[in-house]
Amino acid sequence: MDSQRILFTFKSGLFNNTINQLCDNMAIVIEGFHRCGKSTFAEALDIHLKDKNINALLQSAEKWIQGRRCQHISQSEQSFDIDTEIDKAIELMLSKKGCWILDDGEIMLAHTSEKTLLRLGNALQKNQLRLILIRNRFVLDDYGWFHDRELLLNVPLPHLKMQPFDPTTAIEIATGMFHGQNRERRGEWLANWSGGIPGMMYDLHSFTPEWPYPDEITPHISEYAIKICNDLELHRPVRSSLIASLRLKILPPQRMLSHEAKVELGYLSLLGMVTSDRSENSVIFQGNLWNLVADTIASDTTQITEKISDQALNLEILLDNAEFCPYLCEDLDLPIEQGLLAEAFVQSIFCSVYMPRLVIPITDFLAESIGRIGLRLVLTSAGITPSPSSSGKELAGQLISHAGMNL
Amino acid sequence: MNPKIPLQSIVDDILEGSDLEVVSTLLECSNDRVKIRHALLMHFSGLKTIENISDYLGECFGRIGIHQILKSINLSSSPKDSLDSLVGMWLAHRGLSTIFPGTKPLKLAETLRETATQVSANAASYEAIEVAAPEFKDLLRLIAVYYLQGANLKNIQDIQDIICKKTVSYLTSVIERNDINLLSTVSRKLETLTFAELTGLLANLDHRPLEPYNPVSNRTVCILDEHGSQLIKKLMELWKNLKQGIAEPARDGLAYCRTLRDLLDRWEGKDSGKTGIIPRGAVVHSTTRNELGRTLQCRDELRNSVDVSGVTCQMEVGDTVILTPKIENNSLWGKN
Repeated sequence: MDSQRILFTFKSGLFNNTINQLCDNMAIVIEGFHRCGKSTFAEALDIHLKDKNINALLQSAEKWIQGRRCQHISQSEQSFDIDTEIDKAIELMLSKKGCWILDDGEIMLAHTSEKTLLRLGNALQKNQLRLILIRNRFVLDDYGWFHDRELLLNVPLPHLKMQPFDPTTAIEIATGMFHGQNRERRGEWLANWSGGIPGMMYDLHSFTPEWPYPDEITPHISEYAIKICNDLELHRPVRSSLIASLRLKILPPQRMLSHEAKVELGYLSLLGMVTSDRSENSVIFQGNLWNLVADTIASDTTQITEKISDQALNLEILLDNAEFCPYLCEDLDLPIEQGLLAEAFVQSIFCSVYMPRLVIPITDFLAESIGRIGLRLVLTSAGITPSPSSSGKELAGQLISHAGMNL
Repeated sequence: MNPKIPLQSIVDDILEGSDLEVVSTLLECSNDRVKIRHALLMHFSGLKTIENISDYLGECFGRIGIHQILKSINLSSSPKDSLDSLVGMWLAHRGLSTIFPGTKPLKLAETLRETATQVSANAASYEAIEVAAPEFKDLLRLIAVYYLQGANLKNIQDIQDIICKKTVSYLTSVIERNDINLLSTVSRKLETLTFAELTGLLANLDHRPLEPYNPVSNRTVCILDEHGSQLIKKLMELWKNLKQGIAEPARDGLAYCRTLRDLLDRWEGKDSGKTGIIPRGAVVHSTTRNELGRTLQCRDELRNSVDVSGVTCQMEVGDTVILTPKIENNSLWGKN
């Protein structure tokens, strides 16, 4: 199976993208999630580069940590320093002008001193080595401590994202994991339930029922879903609310989320449970297993009332009159399309009532995105004369009251 | 550096990139560039610090307004940038970066949550608290000490939310190992931690006073002195000591030599002959039996020795400290 996976990794679009990016950049980040096959990908890259007579060095930062643990037991007096490992790798790569493939890159970023990160960045800037940093996605995408650490490298860092296998490839691989006359059926089941995530195929292989199966959701798989919920503590309040809102497709855009919810959403993405694409027709939970897990956590089917929708539409109209809608759509990373802003407001208001820890108050969002000046413009265009001394939040409060909302 | 000149550029940017009619209303002056300019400069000088100015700009213009202003001065920014980073970028572009670093430092609690979540997510595969930002280890350690101490955790919702049980159990082992490497320098983020932020963070901790003395986990108890004052005060002391490297949670009082060496250097100044006063009740192991109980020339041993002979000696107040690499029931930080 490993060789088969490596083979499929070679064939994947990401592999070619990585090689292409490596021609133009000294460093690349490959970002993945749990069980997505990062280490297999790293191995495949190593094999490929060595086949091309490129001096490649494949390392795992996790192994450094494990090494430290072992060292600690046997030589408790000796200090261990990840910086030393990095220095050694840099030296080796400098002498060979090679390509350093580092798996578990987030561990390196967390442990290395700033000085060593800057030194590594410096070597990259001087074209002295190449770096392929393979790491888990960060719970916070565009900011945060880990993000800041990565920026210390101070080189252009194209980020390539690992994805599950596409359905056809997933079925092909999954079918290859079975023997006998029903292998196609079982392969299809495994591909669907794993969502094409390589590691999940491994995990779920033993759960695959014999064909014909009376019920696709076997007791074993149900138990496994419950175990996942417990192990990953998915019942925790914010986590479960988040899963419920995703399941109902009522989670507002990231900008409207609380910091806590953003972190938790990042956590679910890092687990491979959810995809980052949350557009209307996109798949939210990757594979049947994660859908079952979501159903186990949240079975709520609360509906958004028409009243909230009307008020949100009023708010969108008020903002549109002052020509703020395109800017707000951009701010929320939404297509500029009528009604989408209102939908985001609906989701935000709905969550603020039923799952308040998920969102920031809508007044805070408006005050921070439009500012006092913008809010004054909107209010003035609606025929309201606001007081000059009103704060942004007060102005936003006036605006949403005018739209008919009573929060 | 004279901040007036960059501030004039900021005012120019506002005059170019925003709706002057609304700005003038906000400033309660007439819609005239000269008047607005004057009013803005006056307003800024009243705000006194660059940080206040930054807050003011953010509140007035919002992300969208500042994005527009940056566009008008050909400064590229991403719609994903936060309000703080947009303002920071703007001020830095106009030469105010030396006064105000641009992006505000991330809030401790937020960063802690991020780091702890990243760790707990990875813990499934790595079982590794080490992924956590080194500078937060001290704080995580502090929290773990409370878990170990048996404090009532029912009310620590926030912290429980941040740190999952798995992480804490791993932390326990980190603490037990007494890994000196993890006691890294406290970063600027933690240096900026204010009392209010700390109390806020720890507000959910149980206010029940801890037992004054517990021979099993003596370290914490030593710092949380008997019949203690307020918990926060004790925490602050512990925190201060952690930062100074004085306090080091240890397994059965086992302290590695580096901690001792640090202590040694600190005690009685530089020319003390490296001796100190050991508190009552401390039980000390020596690496060599014949040197037990009295002043010891131990610098080399501090570096090299690992083996503990098992010979113990009850010390009295006033005895000269035995500078051995390992000390049991280490009461060096209290119980005088």
